[in-house]
Amino acid sequence: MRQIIALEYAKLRKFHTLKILFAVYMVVVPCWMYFMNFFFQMNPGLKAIFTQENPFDFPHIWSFITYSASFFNILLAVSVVTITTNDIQFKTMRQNIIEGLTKRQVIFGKFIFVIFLSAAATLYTFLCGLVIGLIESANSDFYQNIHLNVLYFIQTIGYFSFAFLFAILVKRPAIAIVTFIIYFPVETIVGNIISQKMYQFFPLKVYADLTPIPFFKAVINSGPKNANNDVFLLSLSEQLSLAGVYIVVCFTITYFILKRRDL
Amino acid sequence: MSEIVLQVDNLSKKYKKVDAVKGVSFDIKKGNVYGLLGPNGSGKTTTLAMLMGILHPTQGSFSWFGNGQEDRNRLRIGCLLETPNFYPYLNAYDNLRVTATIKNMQNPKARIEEVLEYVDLKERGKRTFRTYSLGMKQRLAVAAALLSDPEVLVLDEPTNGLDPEGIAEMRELILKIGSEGKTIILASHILDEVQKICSHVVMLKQGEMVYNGSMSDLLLQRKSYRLMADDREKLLSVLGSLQQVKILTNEPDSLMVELDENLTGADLNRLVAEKGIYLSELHAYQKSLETIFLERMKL
Repeated sequence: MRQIIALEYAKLRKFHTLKILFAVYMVVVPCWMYFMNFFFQMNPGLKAIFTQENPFDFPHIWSFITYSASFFNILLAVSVVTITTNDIQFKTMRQNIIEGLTKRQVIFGKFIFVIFLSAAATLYTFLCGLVIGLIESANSDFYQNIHLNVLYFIQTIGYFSFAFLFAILVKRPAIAIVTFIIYFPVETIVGNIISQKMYQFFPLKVYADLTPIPFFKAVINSGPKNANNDVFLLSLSEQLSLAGVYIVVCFTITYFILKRRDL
Repeated sequence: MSEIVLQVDNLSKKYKKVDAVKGVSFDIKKGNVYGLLGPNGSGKTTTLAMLMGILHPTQGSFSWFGNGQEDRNRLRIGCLLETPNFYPYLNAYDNLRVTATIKNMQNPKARIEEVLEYVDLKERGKRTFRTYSLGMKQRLAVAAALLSDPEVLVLDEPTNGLDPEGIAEMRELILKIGSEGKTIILASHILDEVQKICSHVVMLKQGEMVYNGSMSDLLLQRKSYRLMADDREKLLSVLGSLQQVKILTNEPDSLMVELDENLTGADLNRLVAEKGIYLSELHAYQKSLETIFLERMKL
């Protein structure tokens, strides 16, 4: 394990694209929070429609910041795609295997990277929420809803493992990024066409629902229901289990693709 | 008997309808320098890629160090396959650090310096790989192959992109490594180089193996001879009646013949003498590897 961590570090420590994308993420997450707050202050009427809560107040800040940050996961997911496809395009993955790395170690290295990137994004988002909350919040109940940070961590692992699967499948950087981005609306459209009930089980929907929408709570809490009036939202434990399954499936599929593929 | 480091048994690779490698079998013995020869598309790189674990054989098997196809075998091998592949945004030091990490080397700094010095890249080691010329990239690839002091070195066209001086240096380098008792498998188009460096040859043609043996045996198999005699017409008539002799050229100042493998120059001298012809000149010519290679590729 230490060898794989050292290897990923040696490969990525001077990869500027990753640094730039993470820097952009670091800037846009708090900026977006302040922009949203400013927008609501300027438009109190609109705010009343969106939410009754102050986004900067504990414990609401956790749901606002994790939900907002989840949109910017796309930036970090792009870095996962870029790093993986570069490894294929530069033939460095092939060279690593020639030099003695196993395909299992290649996948494990990417898994470690995904975990590390997710942990970094989560830690940063948590610190942003904490700092903004400590400065701006009218109350200090920051423990409530703090678990949303853990859910955000699982969500980022999910998105990034999905990005990794796309990168291994498509191989070319630009096409992989475009395909990955296009998949988001495609899944939403297909899911809504098939049925709301089925859509809940789609991978990106499962990940997205881990950090629920902090707006229109009254509407959402009244519940999406089917014709028989059954509430079909998955419970948190079901969502977590499904997310875990999808993450394992992503890495397993990539392993078998790589194992069967000639490099 | 020398220890066998690689056993290849009936190795084949098929791409849809194309048979890139067809049932190739050979053994590589420890401490020898093997030349893997063949024209473009003969299956050299495909064979090496299968042996290095990046292509799946369609059929057949191979075994490194008697351990089968285990991944850890490759940790004992240094390899340059086709083009040098490195991280373009890393410099030579950092790229070799990646290789050292894969090879599980402890404190590789000194060894990295050593191999960069060896391939004359130490001065430019801090520049990123993307700024290197093809020759520098090739030398870095050789440095990476040598980094872990491997038991076996697999070099696929190591002189690609090198200037004449670089080619000469590479030849010296391979000879030096070979003299240190390392096993080397060298795929090259430059047959003169192979003849100078290799002790054994495996020859491929359209994916099939057409020769596997020692270089000396290959070169000795068919010698050509230049003959002279006072009665040239009678000599030609006698040679024409001998089935083991093939006339290569018949010009006024040069009558060249090739003998069957079981016939020596002395045998030829005796045979023509028995017919009343006494040779005034019998001069043996060693064919170059290039000539032999071209002949075999035409067969």
